[in-house]
Amino acid sequence: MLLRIEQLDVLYGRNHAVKAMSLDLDAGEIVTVLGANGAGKSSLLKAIQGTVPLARGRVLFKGANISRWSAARRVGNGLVMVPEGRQIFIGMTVHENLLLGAYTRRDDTAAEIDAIYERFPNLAQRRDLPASVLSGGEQQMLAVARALVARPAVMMLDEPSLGLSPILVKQLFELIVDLNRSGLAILLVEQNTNMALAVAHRGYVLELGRTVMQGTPAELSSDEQLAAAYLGQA
Amino acid sequence: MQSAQQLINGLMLGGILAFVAVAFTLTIGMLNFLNFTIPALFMLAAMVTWALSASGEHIFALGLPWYAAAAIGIAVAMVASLIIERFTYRYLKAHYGDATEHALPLVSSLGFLIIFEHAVITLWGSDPQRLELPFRDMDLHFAGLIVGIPHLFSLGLAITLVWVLSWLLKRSSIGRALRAIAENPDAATLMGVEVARIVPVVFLVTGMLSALAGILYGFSYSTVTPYIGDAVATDAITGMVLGGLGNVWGAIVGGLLVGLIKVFAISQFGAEIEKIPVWGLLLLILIIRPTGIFGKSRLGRGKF
Repeated sequence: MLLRIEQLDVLYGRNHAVKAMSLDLDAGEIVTVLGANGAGKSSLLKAIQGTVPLARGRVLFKGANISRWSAARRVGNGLVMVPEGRQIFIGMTVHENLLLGAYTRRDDTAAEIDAIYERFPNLAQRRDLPASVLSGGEQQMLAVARALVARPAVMMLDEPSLGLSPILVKQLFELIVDLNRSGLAILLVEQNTNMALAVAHRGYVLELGRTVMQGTPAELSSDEQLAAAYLGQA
Repeated sequence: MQSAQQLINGLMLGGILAFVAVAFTLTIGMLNFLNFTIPALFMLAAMVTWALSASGEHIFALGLPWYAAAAIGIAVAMVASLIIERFTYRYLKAHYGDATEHALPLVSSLGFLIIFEHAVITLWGSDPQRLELPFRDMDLHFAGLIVGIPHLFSLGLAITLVWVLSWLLKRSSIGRALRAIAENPDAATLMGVEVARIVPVVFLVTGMLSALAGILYGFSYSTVTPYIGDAVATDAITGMVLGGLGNVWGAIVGGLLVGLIKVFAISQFGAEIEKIPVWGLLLLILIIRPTGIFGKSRLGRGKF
């Protein structure tokens, strides 16, 4: 198992954001975590990344217990997050954003960054411009590209489709599938449930911090209650 | 001729103010923290240099050569700056969340300023002390004008160091990490930047800049007291605001302008009112252009 979460609890003061969550992500998988606003999806990702502390439970990555590692150390070992709202550095150039993605790398990343530019020609054209000139879709591409330069084993994406037009959402999910086919394991938090279930191998449904259901996309979509609550189908 | 000499004197004083203004602007730009221990480190390094190099009855009167005393003075200030980081910025941030959004580190740094001043007074008394370089003639004379060599050296060094700093911030990996922290610390963490390990670098650099400025000030005016930090702090802060918060080149220009204004004000109106033009200018800038001469649209963050 590449990434295993065991009985994880996250507390913000009295707010119990995640309760006894367990989750597995195997090599080559796309796993999605679904749920309404405030269900604890983002808190779960932040706890896995190490930017919020665990109240209980363990995070195992490549077989090692990384629960006490700093977030930065997790990045260096291949557990990389594309955060909600992109969080690109708008005061820096596109190229500097990519170089920051390679911050933990000690080897030469020039060839990989060139390959990124080939995959994302829009970014190549704006290479030396401040990232603030990018459109929303381009910013999301830069956020994914920046995470790729870190050479992740697991990429976590927090609401990547937020604020994108339907065409861009489609392109983004094609990219996610493409990356997955080239061997990247992906943990995807989404409110766009239909798109997420279309690409995922398995999914978990959170409600008020608790897992209420898990299974294959087919199993999750056939559940009537879930369909009513999250899939926008009456 | 007289005003040409004053222009030189103003620029020379400004060179030292520029140093301190750069130290202020770095911690503001990187950490959003107005660090009032900078003038304390300025004074501490100058006093340590005097104490170690002078011979006499005072504590640590080792009679060291001036360069050895100065090197130790700089090292002491850099270590003190790390201690300050530990107990102002880092401690308060760890205990009270994003303390940079609050006045807590500012107030605790004021506390450190006063403690350092009084520690130095306890050790060495509050009398002014003579700090001199062993060279005989410390001035350049040309066309009837006098230029102090320590002054000239400090102006040149300030510009060189800022050039090196801005090059490092732009081109090096640690420089990019620092700018990332300045713009968005949470996103910097997601890039694998160990924020808690990089932040002390800012304090080491500001400690070094403040110490160099203090020692050069002492050598330039041949006098040090435990109060030289207070005098330089307000002038340097004005210089920083003039240049735009977080803008290192702005701090150089702002420091030079304040030096010029001070020298001309003193020669025109006398020493009693020297504070009025400097503070008046500060207030005026805050009212008409709070981002300073070179500042960009957002205050305090990500200006490199």
